[in-house]
Amino acid sequence: MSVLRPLDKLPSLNTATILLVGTEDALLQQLADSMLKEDCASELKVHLAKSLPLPSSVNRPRIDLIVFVVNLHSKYSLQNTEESLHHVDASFFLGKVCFLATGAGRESHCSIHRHTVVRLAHSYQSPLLYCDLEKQGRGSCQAQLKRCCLQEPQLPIPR
Amino acid sequence: MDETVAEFIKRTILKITMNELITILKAWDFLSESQLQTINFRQRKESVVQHLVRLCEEKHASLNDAALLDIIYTQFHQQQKVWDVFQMSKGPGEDVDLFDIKQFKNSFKKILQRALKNVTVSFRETKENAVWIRIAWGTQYTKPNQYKPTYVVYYSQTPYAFMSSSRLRRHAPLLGQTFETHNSTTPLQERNLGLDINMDSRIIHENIVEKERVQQITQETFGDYPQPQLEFAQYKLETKFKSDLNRSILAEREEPLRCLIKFSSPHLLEALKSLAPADPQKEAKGNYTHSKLFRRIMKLVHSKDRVESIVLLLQELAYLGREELPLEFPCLRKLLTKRNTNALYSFLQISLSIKEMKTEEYSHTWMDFFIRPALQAYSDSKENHLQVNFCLPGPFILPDNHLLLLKRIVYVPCLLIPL
Repeated sequence: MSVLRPLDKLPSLNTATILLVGTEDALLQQLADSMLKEDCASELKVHLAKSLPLPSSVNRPRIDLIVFVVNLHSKYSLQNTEESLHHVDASFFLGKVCFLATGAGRESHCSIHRHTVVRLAHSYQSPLLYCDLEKQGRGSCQAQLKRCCLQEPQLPIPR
Repeated sequence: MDETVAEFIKRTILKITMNELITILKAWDFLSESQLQTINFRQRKESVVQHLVRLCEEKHASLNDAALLDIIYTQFHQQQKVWDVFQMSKGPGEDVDLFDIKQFKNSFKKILQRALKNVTVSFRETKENAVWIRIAWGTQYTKPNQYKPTYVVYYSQTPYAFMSSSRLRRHAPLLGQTFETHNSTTPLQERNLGLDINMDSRIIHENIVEKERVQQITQETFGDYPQPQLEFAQYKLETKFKSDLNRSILAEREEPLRCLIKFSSPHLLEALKSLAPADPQKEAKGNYTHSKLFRRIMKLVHSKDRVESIVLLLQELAYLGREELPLEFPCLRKLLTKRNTNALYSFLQISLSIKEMKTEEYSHTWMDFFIRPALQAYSDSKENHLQVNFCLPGPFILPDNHLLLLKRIVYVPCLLIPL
């Protein structure tokens, strides 16, 4: 139960669920808000978590996309992400995982080098997005990119 | 009007600054609106004061009115005083009495006047269920000295009373006695504030149980209202050193180590409170490494922890400081954002100066451990820093666990560690 698997549950009708994993809750909240403001073809649900494994709960719907939010200002954030990655099943990485790096704008405050995150994303074969909520308003362009990721898991039409 | 009362009023008004004067006079409510309007507040202060004293004379101000003015002045400047807090406890089997303010005032006054013939006692109630009591002390043969009063603030719904420290310490037990007859303490209302999370039902927090738990702990520890502005807290600690390494010098010491630990900050309690993020909005100020530090500090202040944990704490702060501290302590972050042009540099200044001093309690050495952005170092005197005095005539521990012999150190200049 401690490992997240992509296909262990049935998908819910016309709903997509995104899981945001990151240490800074305020940031996750802002991202979630901005994502929900965009129009989406299917209904969108966002789950926010500090780290994986998730506390066990049977009612969680199937997760369609996991976004790991790494704050480049904090080494702890990277460490947390690396530890959480162990709890994700390998098949998730076939297009259902995405990395988001924040805080790249303030170079002087970054304690993680950008290449570290690039290498991490590369080794997990997942896309890496950059986001800076302070500078780019609410990061709405990033939300749109996330939409693109969501297009892939097609929701099956029930017969 | 008595000469002494006139002099007392004059001296009290002289203490008030011009911009506060009108507010305080209005709060006093002794002189009427029309009378206040006759005064030209733009003159020199002496003339204004003289005019006011004349008006008070015309209205026959009594000692009580003058004392009330003094209370109001103190209420405005309460943070200039140092307050001691007393907590009253109920004896077993006593009932909760209903608090009657009139009865309280009467009996308080009676008790004090019975014990000492010459006291002036005045009361003022405020909206928050607090009673401000001003006591001017005299002896059997002398009249009360109005210029060195003691103030007691009693919140009737709580078991706490605050007393301003005064040099006349011998009166403290007497005041304690007056409160003994009034153990009326109803417990504070149970508050039940849920987490203030975004009510959007499409956002689900996975860790909500943990968050609620943290919020509950924060709320239990700190309460709901904004914290009083505390600038430093000092703890005395007596402990023995225990080391896992083989037989370090300090572990073999027979006597306990006496330490003095001091935390200081522009707003200490809010800084400690923000270390435990429980609310998503408030978390924007802190980072999760705070929770570890917070737990450590709380453990330290609540229990007699060992010296090595202080050293470890310092190490951790130093480590954090090298990379992230200027950004993470809420107060320091404010400093950085205010002067943004200098924010490019996050130097740390760790200054170490050793002096040996003897006091009547113990001989100790000082180690000042300042953590602050270097560019602010000389301009801003208020910053977060941890000061630890180790009382130890012998070897001396530095944060990176090096042992230094005291006599060899004279002064170590600042170490600048660029990021």
